[in-house]
Amino acid sequence: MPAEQKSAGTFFMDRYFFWNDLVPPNRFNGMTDLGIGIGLRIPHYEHILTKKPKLDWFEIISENYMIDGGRPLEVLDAVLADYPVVQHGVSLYFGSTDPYDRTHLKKLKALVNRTKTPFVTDHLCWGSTDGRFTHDLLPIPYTSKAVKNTAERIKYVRDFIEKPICVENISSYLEFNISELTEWQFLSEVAEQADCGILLDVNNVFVAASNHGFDPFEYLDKIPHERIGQIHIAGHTDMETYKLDTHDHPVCDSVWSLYERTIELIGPTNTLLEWDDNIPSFDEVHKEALKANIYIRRITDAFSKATAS
Amino acid sequence: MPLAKQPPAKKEIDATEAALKLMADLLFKPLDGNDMQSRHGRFSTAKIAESFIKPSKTLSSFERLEIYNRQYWYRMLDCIWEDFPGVLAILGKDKFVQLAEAYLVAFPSNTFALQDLGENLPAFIKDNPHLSAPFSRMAYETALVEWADIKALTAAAYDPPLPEFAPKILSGQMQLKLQPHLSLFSLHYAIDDFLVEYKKDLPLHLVSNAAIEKTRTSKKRTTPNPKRNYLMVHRIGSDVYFTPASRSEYYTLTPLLAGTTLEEACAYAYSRLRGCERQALAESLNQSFTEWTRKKLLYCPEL
Ligand SMILES: [Fe+2]
Repeated sequence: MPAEQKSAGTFFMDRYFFWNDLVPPNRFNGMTDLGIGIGLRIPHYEHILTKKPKLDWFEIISENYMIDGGRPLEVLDAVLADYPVVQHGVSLYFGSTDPYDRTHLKKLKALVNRTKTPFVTDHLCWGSTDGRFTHDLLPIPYTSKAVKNTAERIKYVRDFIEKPICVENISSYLEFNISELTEWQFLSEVAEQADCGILLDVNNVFVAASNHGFDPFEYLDKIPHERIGQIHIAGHTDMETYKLDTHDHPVCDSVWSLYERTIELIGPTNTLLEWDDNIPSFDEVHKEALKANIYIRRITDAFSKATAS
Repeated sequence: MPLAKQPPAKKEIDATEAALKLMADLLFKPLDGNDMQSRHGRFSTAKIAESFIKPSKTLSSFERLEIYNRQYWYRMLDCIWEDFPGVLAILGKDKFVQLAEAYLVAFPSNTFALQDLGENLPAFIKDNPHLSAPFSRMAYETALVEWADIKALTAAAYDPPLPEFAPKILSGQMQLKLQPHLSLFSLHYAIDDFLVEYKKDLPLHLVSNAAIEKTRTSKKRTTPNPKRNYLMVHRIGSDVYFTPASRSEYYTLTPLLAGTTLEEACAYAYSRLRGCERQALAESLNQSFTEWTRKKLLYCPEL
C-alpha cells in the first residue's frame, strides 16, 4: 500500500492541476502521449509485417539497429512506416567514467535520425571501464560525485544526439558501502542536475526494493513526478534469496500495484511492457501490456468522480 | 546550443571509480565451475567483497557480487555459443567452453556492439592451436566462416553499378569493389555443407536488457569432411549464402578485396593460374562477372 494514504477527494484535488499541467506529454518525452506499447522483438517480426496488428507504439533496443544493413533495418523501416517508435538503449552507461566514444554516439545519432524517435531512453547504470564492456547494467555507487559524473554524461549525450533523454532506474542485486544517498535520492539528483526525464521501471523498483529492503511506495512518492516521461512494466523471477529481473514472465500483482500508484501520482503516461526471453506470441504479449488499461481506467474513473463531486 | 563538455577528469571521482574498477576486475575473472573464484590474487574474494559491498538480509557481499560475476560469464559465453555452433560441434561442450573462456579473457568486449564479440575468435584459435587440438585447422576454418556469416547479416550493401558504366570500369576510370558483406576463403574442409545443418533454426543474436538465465543445449559432436575448396559468404537481400567459388574466381576476387583495379585483379589471377589459357580464363571470368553482377556482389564507391 502507499506509504501515505489521503482521502480520495483530497488526493485527487491535489493532483488535479498537476495532471492537467504536467503529464503525460512533457518536455522529457518529446510531448508525446503514446499510449501502451511493447518491445519490437524478432519472434514477432513476421506477424507484425504481415498482419500489421493494431498497437499504440513500439520500443526498440537501439543497439540492435546500430548496424550498416540487413534484415533488422529492413524490418525497422517497415515498422516505422506504420507505428511510432521510441529508442531504448542498453550501452550508454551514464554512470561509467571512461570518456564517450564519438563513433558510438554518431551511430546512435544516425539511428535517431532514421527513427525520428521523440526521445531516447537508457539506464542509470555503468557497464564499461578501461575500454572493456560488460554488456550488463551495473549499479552505481550512490555518491554525490557519481551524481555529478552521471548528470554530465547524460547532458553530453543529449547535446550530441539533440533529443530529450529519460534515464531508467535499474534492477540491482548489490549496494556499495560508499553510497551516501538512497536510490531514489540518487535518481532524483541525477535527473535534476542533468535536467533530464525519468523512465520509471516499476518492475525494477520492485526488484530493487525486495533485494535491498526499502519501501517501493516511498520510492515512488519521493522522485520528481513531473520528470517521468515513460513507465516500464515487466516480469521478474523469484530466486528465493533475491529477485532477478528476467523479463520472461507476465507482470506480477505487486508490480501492477506500483504501476497503479504511479498512474495515481502522475496521470496516464507512455507505458511499455518489456518481454525479452521465452517470448510468447505477439497477441499474448500485447494482451499482457493492455492490462495496464485496467489500472488507468480505475484511476481516471476515481479521478472523474472525485472532481465531479 | 553549445555542446556540453566531455565528463570531468577521472581524478574527481576517485572513490566511485575505484569501486567500479575493482568490481570490473572481479566480474571479468572466469567462474570456478559455476561459482565465483574464492581467491583474487593473494586475497580472499569474500574479504574484498565485504570491503566495498553491503550484505543484504539474505545474501553476503560475496554472494551479491557473484550474481553479477555469473551473469557476465553466462551472457558472454551464451553469445559465443550462439555465434559459433560449428566450432562447438567440432570441439564438444567442455573443450568449447575452455576455448571461449580463454578467448574472452584475452579479448573482452571493447565495443557497445555485443554482435562483435566473436570478431577475434578465428585469429585466437589460429594463434592458440593447443586449445582446439587435434581439430585446430577445422575449428579455425569453421570459425572464419561463422564469423563471416555474422558479419554478412548486418553489413552494408550498396547498389551495383549499372551496365552503362561497364566501359569506364573496364578502362580503370571507375573502381569496382566487393560488397562489405562478402568474404572469401580458401578452405581445406567442406565447411559450407557442415554448417548448413547448424544454420537451421538459429536465431539472430540480439541484445536485450534482461538478465540471461538460459540452459545451453548442444547437438551431437561432428566434424566437417576434408575437401579443398573456395567459398564465398555473402548476402542477397536479407539472407546470407554460402556460395562455392572456382579457383579463377578466388584469385580474381582476392586482389579486388585488397583494393586493386579489375585489370590488376585479372592479371593476378592469370599469374596464379599457371597452365590456364588466357582465352579460357577470360571466358570463365566473363561468366563469373555476370554471376557476381546478378548476385550484386560488386559496387562502385564513386557512385
Ligand atoms: Fe526497463
